[in-house]
Amino acid sequence: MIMRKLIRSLFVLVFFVTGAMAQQRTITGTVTGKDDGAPIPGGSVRVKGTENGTFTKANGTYSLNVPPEATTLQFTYVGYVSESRVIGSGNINVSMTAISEGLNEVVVTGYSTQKQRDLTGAVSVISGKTIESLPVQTFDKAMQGRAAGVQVTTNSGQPGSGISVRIRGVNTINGSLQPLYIVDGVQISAGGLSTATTQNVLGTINPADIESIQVLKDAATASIYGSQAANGVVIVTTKRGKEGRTAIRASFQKGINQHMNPYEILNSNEYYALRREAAVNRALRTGVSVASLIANLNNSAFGSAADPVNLPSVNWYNEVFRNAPFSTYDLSFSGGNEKTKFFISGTYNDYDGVAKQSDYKKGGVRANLEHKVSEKFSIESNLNLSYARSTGYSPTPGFYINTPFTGALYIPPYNTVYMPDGSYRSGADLRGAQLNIVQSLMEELRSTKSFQTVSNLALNYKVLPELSLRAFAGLDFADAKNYNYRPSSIPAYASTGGSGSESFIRNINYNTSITANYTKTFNTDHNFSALGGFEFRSNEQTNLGASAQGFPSPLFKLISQAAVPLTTTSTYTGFKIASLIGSVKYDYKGKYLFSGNVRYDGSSRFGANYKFGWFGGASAGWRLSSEDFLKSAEWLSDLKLRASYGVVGTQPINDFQSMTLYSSPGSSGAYNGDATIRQSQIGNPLLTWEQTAQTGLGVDFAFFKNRVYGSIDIYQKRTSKLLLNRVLPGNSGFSSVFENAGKLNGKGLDFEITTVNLDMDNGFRWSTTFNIALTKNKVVEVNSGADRNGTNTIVGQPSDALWTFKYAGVNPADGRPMYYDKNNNITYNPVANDKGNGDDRIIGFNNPTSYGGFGNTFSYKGLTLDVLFQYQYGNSSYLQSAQLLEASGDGANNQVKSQLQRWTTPGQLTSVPRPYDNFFEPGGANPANMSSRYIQKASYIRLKQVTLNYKLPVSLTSKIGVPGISVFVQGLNLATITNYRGEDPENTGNNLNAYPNPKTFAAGLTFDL
Amino acid sequence: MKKKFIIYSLSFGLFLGSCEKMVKIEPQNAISPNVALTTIGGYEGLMNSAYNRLIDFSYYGRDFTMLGDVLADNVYTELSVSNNRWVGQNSNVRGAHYDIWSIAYSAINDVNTVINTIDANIKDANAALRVKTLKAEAYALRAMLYFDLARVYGYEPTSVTAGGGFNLSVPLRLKYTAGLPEAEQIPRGTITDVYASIESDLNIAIPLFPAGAGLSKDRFRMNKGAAYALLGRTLLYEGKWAAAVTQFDNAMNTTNTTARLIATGGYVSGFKTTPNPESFFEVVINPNTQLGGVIGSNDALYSYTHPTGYNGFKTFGGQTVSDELYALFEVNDDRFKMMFKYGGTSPTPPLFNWADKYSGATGPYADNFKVIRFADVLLMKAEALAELGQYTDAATLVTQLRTNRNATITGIPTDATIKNYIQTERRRELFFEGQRWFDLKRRANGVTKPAKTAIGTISASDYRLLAGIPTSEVALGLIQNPNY
Repeated sequence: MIMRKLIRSLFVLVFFVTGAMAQQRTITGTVTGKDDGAPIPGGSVRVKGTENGTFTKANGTYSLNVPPEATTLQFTYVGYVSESRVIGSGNINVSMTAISEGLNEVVVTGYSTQKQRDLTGAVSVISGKTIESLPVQTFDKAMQGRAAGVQVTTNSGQPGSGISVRIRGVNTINGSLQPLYIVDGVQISAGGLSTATTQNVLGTINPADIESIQVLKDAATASIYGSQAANGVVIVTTKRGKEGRTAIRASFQKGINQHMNPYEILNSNEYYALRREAAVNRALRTGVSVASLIANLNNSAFGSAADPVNLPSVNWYNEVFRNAPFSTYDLSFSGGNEKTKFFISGTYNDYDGVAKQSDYKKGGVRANLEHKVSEKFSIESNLNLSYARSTGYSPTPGFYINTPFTGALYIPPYNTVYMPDGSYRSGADLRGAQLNIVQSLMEELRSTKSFQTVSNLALNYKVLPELSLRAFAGLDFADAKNYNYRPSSIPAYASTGGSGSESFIRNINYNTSITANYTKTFNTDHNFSALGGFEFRSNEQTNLGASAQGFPSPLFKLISQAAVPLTTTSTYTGFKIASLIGSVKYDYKGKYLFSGNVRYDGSSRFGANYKFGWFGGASAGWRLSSEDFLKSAEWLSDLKLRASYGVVGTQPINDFQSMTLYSSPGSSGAYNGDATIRQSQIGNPLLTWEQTAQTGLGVDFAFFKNRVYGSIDIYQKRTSKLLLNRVLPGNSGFSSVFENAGKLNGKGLDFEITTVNLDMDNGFRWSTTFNIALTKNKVVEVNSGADRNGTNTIVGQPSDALWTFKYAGVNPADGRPMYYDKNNNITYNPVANDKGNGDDRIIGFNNPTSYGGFGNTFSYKGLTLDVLFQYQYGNSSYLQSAQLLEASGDGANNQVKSQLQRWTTPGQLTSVPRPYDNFFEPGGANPANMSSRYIQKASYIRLKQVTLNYKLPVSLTSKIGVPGISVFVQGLNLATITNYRGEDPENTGNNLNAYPNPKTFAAGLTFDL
Repeated sequence: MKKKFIIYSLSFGLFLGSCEKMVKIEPQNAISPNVALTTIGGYEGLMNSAYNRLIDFSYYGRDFTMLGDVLADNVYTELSVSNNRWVGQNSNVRGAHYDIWSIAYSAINDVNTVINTIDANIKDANAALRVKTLKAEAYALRAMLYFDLARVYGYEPTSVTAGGGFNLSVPLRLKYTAGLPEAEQIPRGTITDVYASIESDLNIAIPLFPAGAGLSKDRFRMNKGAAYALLGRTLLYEGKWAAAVTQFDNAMNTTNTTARLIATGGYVSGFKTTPNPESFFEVVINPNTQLGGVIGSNDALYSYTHPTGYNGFKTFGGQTVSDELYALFEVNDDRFKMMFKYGGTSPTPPLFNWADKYSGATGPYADNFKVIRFADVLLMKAEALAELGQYTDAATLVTQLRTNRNATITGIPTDATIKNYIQTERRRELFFEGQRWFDLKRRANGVTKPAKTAIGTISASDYRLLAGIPTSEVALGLIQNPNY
């Protein structure tokens, strides 16, 4: 998008100048955009130096009476370079050039703004235009692959689910990894609202309402947010009204989601063959009669000892998925006059998930208002309210029988879903499995319904022309109702008469600040600004819930209708932060730039002995291209060197972690009806923030009249006072306590470049954008002088090591699984020891060493094709689902096709051990236990997005009174290149009970009028 | 203009002044220790916490109550229906064992807090009796917790020789963990030290309990009779036979307990009565709040010991009565009436042997857990007498029990062979109550596994007789058990 605008500036302006006539007369003409020739409605046309003016109509035309003395007309439109035309005899048609956003765009860097060209830190900017039409439920998802150094992983394909965003790698072991989100000045902690499934708090922000997203990556810039900024800061600014005619935009989109890559599992005959082989192998090994074990197997599987004939076969995995439609509707109005501006929008989204009975429905409204009360006093308010309803499944990794992703794998394929009479197969009819997952999906109710608002009010007062004061208050409020109902019609819950639970979560998170901003230019060359202020943030969460069982029938679904009340919950947690903020910026002729931030943060999460701390940073820039010795270099459009250093923090993970506390575990912790209290945690008054110091160097460059531009950044991070678990002797009654100790170093490189490859006279344009982040970290020191902390944090190694046994394949002689012992000899029974002297070892690392994106945009007249690839490289990931799926048929659960390669005959070379009923061969380990067999490199390249947009010719559309009509089709997650055996290499957790990301196809329409 | 400046700076200054207070926030789910322990109610709650921890599934809630049969010879885990529950334990796979360390020590911290601080914090004369009783309960419970830890993680005084003389028991922590400085590691005590401490705790507790037999509901908490019974068991494990006999007599004395031997025909129904008439100490589990939802069918002993579909309940049943145990019963023995035959998921063959001891007596999937009961004490007394050579007295007790169980009383030996007979009788009486493993272990007899497991005999010197010390403790300096 930046490129498209940029290209406008690459055209040479054409002037039509004729002689002036000294008479009152009417001038008419059309104002169009240079790049696409589309009319610009609402553009301002006025006689230069006067108030005499008008706005262009929907089709871009205008008509203006000008007095005789007028000489020049001025054309202005937000986002475009203003144009002046000398008034001649004829009509004046103007083709306006969009402002090259890359450099002049205003960037929010905390409590003040800055032009992007003046930045001295590392800030990535994503324009709202690039994401406004994407069928994503939350904007964080849309950042994927679009900003260097910003890694976005969607851990769940549940629509509206939580996303994990990591900026410049991992610099903590136990602290939060998520950046601080700031939406129009309101600080939001990323997270979820759902206890039933997963629902992202950022869902309240409609991606179509976003003007721009800025990612503060370097510590000097981010340090204005002090102890919350160690993972970077994502600043989201929503759209504002523009002076002029009211612009209306309506868009809708429909599409379908599909399972990207479902497991291929065995049919009944294949499955039975493995199971039978497993029973035979067991019988032969233990000396029990083969016939009796086969009889046992047959009986438990089919209710008779005889071998089965004509087995039905059902692919249960396919039974739980579907093609899921979705639709989105967006409508917005924006406009205003000199005094008042508005942006008002509404949205409705309806997404079905690819797993049955999972969906996300969201509706929201927004009103962003600005008003100038007087020359000195102005007010701004952004108001938003959204409602979201999610139904779906628990995203917690685990071998669950009641979620579709593992539950379907547990059911032997010879069970049909339904009985001949149409009822669900269950109970004794469901052989070899506990729960009919399809019945469970269809009949169990799980939902989260939430209302949320992220709204604010700001008052600005100009005390002096240079000095302004701003009072700001912002609220992030959410109420979420979670509901779970397990009816007695599902046999597993029949004995208790069905069970239900309801809970309300209320989040009240607000921040308020008072800031004073002083800006002055001295002697025309010295630009100086300073900001000081105070900020307070409070975040409270309460949860109120109850559960009950014994419902009269599945038709009664509220817990008040149940016979037996079970549990009650009511919890309260919260934190408060009070801070002083200071910031200065100075530049000399835009050539030498300097910026400094400081913040003094106090937090309730810090221990009694460390309540307050200083954070801050400084950065400087040198615009080489403005120096005389480079001014003559025509090929150089811009060149700027940057350097920064800053210190930021990560707060302790839990709100009251530093205190010794007694708590009551409630009714489930009572004894014989009497209440209980117990010491629930052991305090550490020394607990405080993790501290990350980051040094960065960068270059911004633009060549050949901005046809090639980009930036390179290198950085080094030093995190100290890591929040680490100190393991306590279990015999103390406590398992661990958090303390600040240890060091973690990180370093990396971010590179982004955009090139305009082709820009032909006939309007064909091709531009490419590429970004890559290289990142690496190393644990330098952990607490107690140990060489590791827990299993995964090992001194001298990158963080998040995957530590387990190394699989040595199958013994060709007898089909048993082999492992390497610590001396790299073969063993059948590896021994674990997390002190490092067992047979287990580092198999890989969880974090990628590089990631990024690669996009191409082709445009010709109204036709635009966007193609975006996104990739990550170097990380290993668990395949925990494979512990079920790749187990040679040792257990009753189904297998993937690869297990047909199991060992059968001496001398056979295969990696799949021989089937052995119930896993444990005497003297051997469980072959389905975790080992390197179930860990794999999860590098991938994904065709993330293809969008083909066609803007209908204005000549056509203006006839029906709608000047802008665009039609688009797009696809997401269309293809993936990877060796990873799991369904989705993006599910980087442990690939267990993971909701795979869908493949999405969509088509939509956008109207601008 | 100046005025405005002053107003702004003033309000700004006010904000700064209140900074410290602004970042204070009181937790509501929990309170600080100096508030929590100022009332007798706080100590009642703390004591309840210790009892509540016994319910944990790794402790009496499941494993401690039943795993002794699975690790030994009373259970065969039927693979085709067990859903992988206790498969490793039944085959005595390395590491598949008891794991009560953290739960037992958490409870020890609760009772230590009571023992260490109640006298100093509660001075109210009106509460004096409650203070005394709580202290008695705390000492007795601490003894029980250490006794369980000692027999899981170490050898008994009677089996330490068979175990190659490995004489380490568990760390003996008698002070509560007030804060980080108290959370330092302490080394494993010797078997002698730990058993001495257990005896001492019980001897302190017994006189603190109020006199008299108390009410039957008192048997849901530590009480005088239970403390005597536990002391007797401790002495038995130490091979102090004569002293053990004395304590068993004290335990069964009707002035000290309301527990009574169940009469003929009452064995099965006794397990459906709360408390079981024979219970000295029984742990209550609330089926509504403590077995709710998934956990009930997931981890309850009912679920483990019943085939799915029996009574219409979904289970993870696979813990069947071993053929060897099944063969020990006479048909008319009351205890045999606990057994039933049923297929893995339906009444159709092949049938397995199941036992209905955990029948969901107090609610779906819910049964109370008997920590120590009368027949157990009776047989332990018989055992002690037999070891003292008083074979006839021992036989009298066995006869008394078998009479009450409708079992034949002919052929009860009156010579040294009664020692083995008593062990077999214990098996018949106490199957599925977790005693078998410890009986075999303390007598250093080795464990002959059910034939169907194809494992043979685990010798009395096998390292697997001890559970491994948690690796996190070993990392903090505790000596690991041999071979782990």
